[in-house]
Amino acid sequence: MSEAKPFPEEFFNAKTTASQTETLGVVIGGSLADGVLVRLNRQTVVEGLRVGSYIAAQGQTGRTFFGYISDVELSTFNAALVPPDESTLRRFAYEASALNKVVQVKLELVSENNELRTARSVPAHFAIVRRLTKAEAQRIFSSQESRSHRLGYLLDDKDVEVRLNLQQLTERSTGVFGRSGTGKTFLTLPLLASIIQHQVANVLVFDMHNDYGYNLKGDGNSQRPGLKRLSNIQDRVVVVTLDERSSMRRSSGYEIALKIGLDEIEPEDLETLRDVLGFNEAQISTIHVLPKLFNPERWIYVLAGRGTGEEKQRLAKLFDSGQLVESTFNAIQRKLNRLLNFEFITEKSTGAVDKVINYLSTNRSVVVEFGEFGRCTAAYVLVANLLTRRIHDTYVMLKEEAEAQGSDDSPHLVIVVEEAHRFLDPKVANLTTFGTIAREMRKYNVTLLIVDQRPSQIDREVMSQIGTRITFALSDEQDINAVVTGLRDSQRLRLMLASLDSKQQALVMGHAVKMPVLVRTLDYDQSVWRAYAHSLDRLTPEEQLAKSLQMIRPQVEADLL
Amino acid sequence: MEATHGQNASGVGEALNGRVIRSSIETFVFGTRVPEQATPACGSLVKVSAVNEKVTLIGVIYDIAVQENALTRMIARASSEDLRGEESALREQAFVEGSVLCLGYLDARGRARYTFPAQPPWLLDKVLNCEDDEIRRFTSNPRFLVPILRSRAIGLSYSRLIVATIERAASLHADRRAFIESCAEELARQLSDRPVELDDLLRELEVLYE
Ligand SMILES: Nc1ncnc2c1ncn2[C@@H]1O[C@H](COP(=O)(O)OP(=O)(O)O)[C@@H](O)[C@H]1O
Ligand SMILES: [Mg+2]
Repeated sequence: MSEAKPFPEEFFNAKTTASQTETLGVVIGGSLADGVLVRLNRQTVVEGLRVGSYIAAQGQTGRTFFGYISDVELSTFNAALVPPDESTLRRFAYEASALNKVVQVKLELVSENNELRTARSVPAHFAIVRRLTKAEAQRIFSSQESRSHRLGYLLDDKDVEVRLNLQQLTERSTGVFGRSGTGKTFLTLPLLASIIQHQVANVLVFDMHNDYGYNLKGDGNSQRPGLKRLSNIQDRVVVVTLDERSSMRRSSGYEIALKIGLDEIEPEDLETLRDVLGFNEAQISTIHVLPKLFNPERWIYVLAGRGTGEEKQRLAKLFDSGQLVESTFNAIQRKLNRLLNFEFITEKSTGAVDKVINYLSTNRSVVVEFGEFGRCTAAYVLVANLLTRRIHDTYVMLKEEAEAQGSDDSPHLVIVVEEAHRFLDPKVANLTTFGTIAREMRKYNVTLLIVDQRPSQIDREVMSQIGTRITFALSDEQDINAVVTGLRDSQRLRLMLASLDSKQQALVMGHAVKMPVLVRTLDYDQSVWRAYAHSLDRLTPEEQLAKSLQMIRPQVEADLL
Repeated sequence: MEATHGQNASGVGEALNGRVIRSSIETFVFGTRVPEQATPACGSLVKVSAVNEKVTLIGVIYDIAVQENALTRMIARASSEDLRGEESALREQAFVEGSVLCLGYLDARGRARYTFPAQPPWLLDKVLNCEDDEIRRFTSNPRFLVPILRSRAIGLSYSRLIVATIERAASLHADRRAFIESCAEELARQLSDRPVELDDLLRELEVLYE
């Protein structure tokens, strides 16, 4: 007798939880490259199997293969079939014989001798295919490392947490992609909190929207704590601001006001603004030639229109002699005028940049708040590039020193940039330190966490160096391409991407996960921020008061001035 | 192997007790003298214990012919009351020929096999109704339907025979619906190239399924 169970109840009851381990079907063909074909049992409800659902195939030799459904196909052996109306018996009979429900399964992993490896073969014909058991799912998707971060849970199964091994994640650069409003920032902030809490790396955030320091603004008027308000890590977080007025208005304390001295700007820094300010080739070469025509420490003052009388005369002479094209020079000056007159640009270095670097090399993390200047792309690009260049130099030095001494405990740094394509655009990626960092990867212990809504505008080579990609919904075809091209199975990953809802659902793939995984990201709410906030609750009232005072002091001082 | 039950699931009042009068590998004919109410029914499974007693051949009755005898015409023509007594005697014990399609056999270990035995039943072998347990065992695999579908002897009336056979066997299975489903599934597989016939057949089975 067939193994048929009571019918039709089970037929209409979709079983969608991955916890069940019922048999789904058997392998009937396929290949490792294109995925194996699994003919579903009559009882298996096609609708309950979405693309991306995880499955296990039982091999013959005690191996278990793991993979995910990459496509679903219905077919019939019999085109002349008379379609049954409501009748259950005929439906049943056709289902059982003439109709074919086939899913394509991409195998990623194989468990042999209790170890998970990349699958390099396929199970035999008729290998039984089933859903993952809870234990298997946990083994694959939840890092058991203590230094891990809970990103969310399986889209398919709320009961299985997705935990990333932070060490692995920060070893290489990470990309967080998705269109605006999908949850990139809400995902990144707690991730950074974990990195800091577990001391996996120091973090430097270029916070152009003022989200990460004190208050993360949500939909409506909701506010959630930024890194500096998570008491567990706040001692290791330093907020610096470019825009003191904005910080005060937002009641957002800061340790230092970041000032950039004109003397700290180098021609390369201006060159990275090529796109943003629209410099042409002639203007770029002019910028590079200036330090040679003037004192290398003074060229920028001349360009900023703050040269001495003597320098102005020299400039006029250069124009006359044709060594400098006056119109070109004036055009550059015009383009830079607004930028170089921002309040955070000072005549001389105030040492703030050094302070930031010092923090970062002594186990602190830094959030650079841009305040209102976040709206000015040129300011954002200039400051982020300039700081990153200096920091990178420092880290290279530290690493080399450490190596010379035979130790390997020089600090690790993760640099977070929103709107990353501003720095990693193909036209500037080879100029900016961001491009360098992305390419040389972890050699100097500095990696990037780039947050961007336009991955298609990021240099391809840089993209190819990104270890882990966390991708929310994208609508632009080019952006989707950019995220999946160059990867094995790009076509399938594209389908998975296309299935994402518009918020809090992401496809995570790459270095830090064992196989591509669709994740429902964790709500960043009280239960989450409590995890980073144990200390305040445990403090005595006096200590709490002291802590609070410490947090608002900068603001109080500013008010007094 | 005398059938001793008075009742079996095929609903025939008396245990059939006939003798093979003609046989080939695929089909055979048995004769029996039975009262009207005990006439064998189409779709019933019958068995013949082969001579060597090793196997029990299983077949399904696909045709029944009630034979005339010397008196039949006379009585039919007669108008008088004289022959009344004869008539009831004749009706009581008419000679009936049943045609049986061989479906397979139960082997020496009692396993159902769905293929022809090596030899046909022999003349005057006893033909008995299958017992409930034998029917259950033999029909537990829907392959018992295959010889009916393939038989040249049955021809186009196979669908009626199939419905009758399934109907008779269904009542013996604990899970009647599951049994019908497994038959439907097999039929759908076997008749995939004949969708219209399949659909007709399944519609008939649906009546049993409800
Ligand atoms: N993990 C989350 N927890 C709670 N709310 C979220 C989460 N992710 C997204 N949201 C909601 O969606 C909005 C947009 O998220 P956000 O991270 O700012 O998007 P993005 O940075 O991609 O533009 C937030 O204001 C918030 O209301
Ligand atoms: Mg954002």
